[in-house]
Amino acid sequence: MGRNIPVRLVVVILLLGVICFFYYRYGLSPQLVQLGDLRDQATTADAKLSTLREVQGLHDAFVRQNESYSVWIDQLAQITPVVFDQHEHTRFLLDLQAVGKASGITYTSIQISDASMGQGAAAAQPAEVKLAKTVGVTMNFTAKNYATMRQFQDTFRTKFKYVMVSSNLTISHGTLGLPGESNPYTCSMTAWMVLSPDATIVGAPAPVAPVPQPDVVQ
Amino acid sequence: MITINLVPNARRRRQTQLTHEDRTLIFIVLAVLVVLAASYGYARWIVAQETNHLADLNVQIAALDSEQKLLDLNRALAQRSMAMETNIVTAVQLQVNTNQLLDDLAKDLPKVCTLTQTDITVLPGTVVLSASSSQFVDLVRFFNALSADTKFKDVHIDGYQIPYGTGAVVQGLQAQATMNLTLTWVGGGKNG
Repeated sequence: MGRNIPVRLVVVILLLGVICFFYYRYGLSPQLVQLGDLRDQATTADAKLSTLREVQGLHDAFVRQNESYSVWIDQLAQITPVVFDQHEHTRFLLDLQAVGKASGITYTSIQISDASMGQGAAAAQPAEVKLAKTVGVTMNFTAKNYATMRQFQDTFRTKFKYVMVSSNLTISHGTLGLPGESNPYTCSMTAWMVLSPDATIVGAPAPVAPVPQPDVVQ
Repeated sequence: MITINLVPNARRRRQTQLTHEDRTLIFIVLAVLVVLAASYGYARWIVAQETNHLADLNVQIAALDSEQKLLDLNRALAQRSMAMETNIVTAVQLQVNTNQLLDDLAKDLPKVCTLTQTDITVLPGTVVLSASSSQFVDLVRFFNALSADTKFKDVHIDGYQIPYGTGAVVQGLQAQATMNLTLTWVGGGKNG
């Protein structure tokens, strides 16, 4: 009898250990995981609810702020268009002609490279120009003198309705006129009209997802 | 009284006497089982409470759906205007004042020289020039001045032409020496 008690004790302890293990593994642990998940969700929901109550308290202010945002976005869209379709294309061309006329230069040709007029694809921008969406513009023009040419450059960069980035400018100055005569300049300029990041160019092909590189076995 | 057990020995039920230690062990096992069951029940109860609380919060959130839409619109508009502003900032940083470049060139250009052609590639600032003068030495001065100017680098003569009179007197444009140069503009910065 004296030898049986320790054996029973050991068996009982082992049995309790096994019971506790299975209870924790399959009973309590899933409950704790579920509880933790529920508490996380409740915390998130609590924060969301308090935010919404705050919004509810400031409802009118939020409405006014959204209206201000919309007005501001419309204003930004004037200088970086959101859509570049044929309407925007022609509007831009007219604006370009107007700024040239106001500056006193004479265009000899203007080419707007985009997909909206069936010119294939939107013009590719140089690698250095890290802008999401642009439309290429090439202008050839003459200026009656150096001051006019400079004035157009300044106006085009700082006062034109759209945000433009020049990428190339060629200025040719031919025969010098006699004293008192004007010295005409012939210029060619390539520039980029900047579009809004989410702008769509009508007719442009959809971007192609990059093809994953195949693994190369060394 | 005498009790006579007539069941055979093999079938006779073993009547064991539970000792104090056995009862203690049984009690411990039962107590542990009760504790485990109670803790499981408590956990289930807490989970149920939390589920109800979450459901209640979700109902309250659903009741504020219009505010949620207002907030979502606010965030979307803020994000969009921020993206457009960032785009504009990037574009303005890329704008280069070409007049500033012409001014920098003019400072190095001797008065007797004339720039007949200037080709500027804004990025990375490559400039191709054609200059003319009646005296070649003035064009050399122009080249030297550009080379010494810290606003320019990689100044390189692509070619030049010097008219030499052979017999007949050479006049007008024919008498002009010309020089073609390539250089890189580094000093003007952006939006100068």
